[in-house]
Amino acid sequence: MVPFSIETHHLSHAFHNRPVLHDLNLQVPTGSIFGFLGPNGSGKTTTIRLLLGLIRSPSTAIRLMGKDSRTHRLEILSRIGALIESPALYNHLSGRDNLEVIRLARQVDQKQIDRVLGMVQLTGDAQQKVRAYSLGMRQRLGIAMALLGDPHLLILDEPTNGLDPAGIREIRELLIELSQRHGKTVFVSSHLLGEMEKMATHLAILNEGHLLFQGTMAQLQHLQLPVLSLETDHNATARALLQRAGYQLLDGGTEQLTVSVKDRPQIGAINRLLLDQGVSIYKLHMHQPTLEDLFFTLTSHPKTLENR
Amino acid sequence: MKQLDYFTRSFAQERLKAKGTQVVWLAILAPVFVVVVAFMASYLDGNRLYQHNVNPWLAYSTHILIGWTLFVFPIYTSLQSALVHAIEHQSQTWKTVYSLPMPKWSVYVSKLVVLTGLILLSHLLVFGLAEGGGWLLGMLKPQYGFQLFSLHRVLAEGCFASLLSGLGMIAVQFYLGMRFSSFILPAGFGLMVTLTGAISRSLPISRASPYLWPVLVFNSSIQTDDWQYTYVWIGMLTFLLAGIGGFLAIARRDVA
Repeated sequence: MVPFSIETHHLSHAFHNRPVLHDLNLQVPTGSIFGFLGPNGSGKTTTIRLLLGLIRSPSTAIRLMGKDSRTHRLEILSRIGALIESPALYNHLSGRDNLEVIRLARQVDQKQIDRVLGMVQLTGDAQQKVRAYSLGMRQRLGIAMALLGDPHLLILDEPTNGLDPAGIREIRELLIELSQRHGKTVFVSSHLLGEMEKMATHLAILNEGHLLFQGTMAQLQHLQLPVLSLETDHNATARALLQRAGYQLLDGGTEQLTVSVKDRPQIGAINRLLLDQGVSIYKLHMHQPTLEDLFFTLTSHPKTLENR
Repeated sequence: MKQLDYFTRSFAQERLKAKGTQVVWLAILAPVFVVVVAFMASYLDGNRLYQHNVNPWLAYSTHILIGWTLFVFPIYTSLQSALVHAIEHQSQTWKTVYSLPMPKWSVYVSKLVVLTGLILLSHLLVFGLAEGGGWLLGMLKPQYGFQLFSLHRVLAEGCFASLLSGLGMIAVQFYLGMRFSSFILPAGFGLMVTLTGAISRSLPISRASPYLWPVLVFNSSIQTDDWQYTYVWIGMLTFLLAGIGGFLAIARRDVA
């Protein structure tokens, strides 16, 4: 078994001379659930399209399951299940016929259709035309199409789009089971940071085509400094004072200030600074940042990581 | 054998995708339209069209073959090609198609075979319906003399020559339909070129248009000796070259 199911080497891409990906070096460990995070337009879908060969990539830039993606296209695609952006379905066909189209390409047993329909709980609606499906049902059918053929690697672009909280939970549990019990590698791009926090073993954060972070969840938490939230009688003055003193302010809105701190003595220093300048403090609260905090820190202040 | 297996699977996919769409209906309606028009003209105005002791099949078959090849066949091909490709374009399923473990050529060839097969079906229907219409005229209007004569072989050869000489046009429209996601663009292009060809048919330059080759084969005559079979060969050669060129152009493009 190869250590990495996905490897990219200095992968760059430009649309009409406009660079959208810069020197991307991804390493997705086999058997991991790899969360691929980034704001809209950061290059996530472009990366996925490059991985799947929908966009031509430079030779030797992409290796999937240890094989060069350009020279082993069919062999690689036979081991990948993918859902790219919104599920692309034939609306005039039933859910079962949509799966049959995929089955014919993958040459798998007909029983697998029933199995994946059951996995995404669409057995009862399989004969219905897809045009009558709700957004959530379409999404689940798209996931069923990706699962058909028992692929080694799943590449899912926003798989929980349009699902209700129960549906999101089901998909999360399904992906965790596929990874933990069946050894599948799951590469998921998502905006749902909370979901990623609950299921991803590894993460990559992409912003404006640059890879800002890549590693395990634990490595990510280790990188992140605690955050201090403040409420004062004059936030604007406090913000200016803290900035002048060299503190790194995070986006906390107008109601409260959030500051990255290195240790507890720094909290005392901030307290003294504001009080000495006549700013009253109503609340001081230190907490470990969530993935969401970290995501916004990295994507709004990409240099932060480099400074650590 | 592996190549044949890929093609068979791709073809089975295309057949399934075409299920419940309008492509088969269009393949039936186009020949029905041209034969019904010729039949109605014969039925209502046959006394003027057909002379005593002259084979009425000559004029009747000419109406059908010229009507078909000059207008209906090119316009039908443009619409049918756009419809075949609309299955993927409208559902935005190209990304799914090309992320499946199937060679790009098998996707291209199976779609081209489906389109050509539908057009072959239409030509068979033109022949069958024309024969049926003539037989019915013989029953309903015996004074025209349809029951006394026949023109099976000429009509069959005419339909076959039309199909083969139209292959170039089919390959061109096929490429346009696959390349452009808009239904209007390839269909509109085909319609415009057809009408331009019909208007400028007498000009020597019009012979370069693949959309006119099916009608130019007949050389304004129902006598097979007068037919210009060169257009059949040119049509087949263009089909081959445009088919290969179209595939190379499509295979190099990124998938939207």
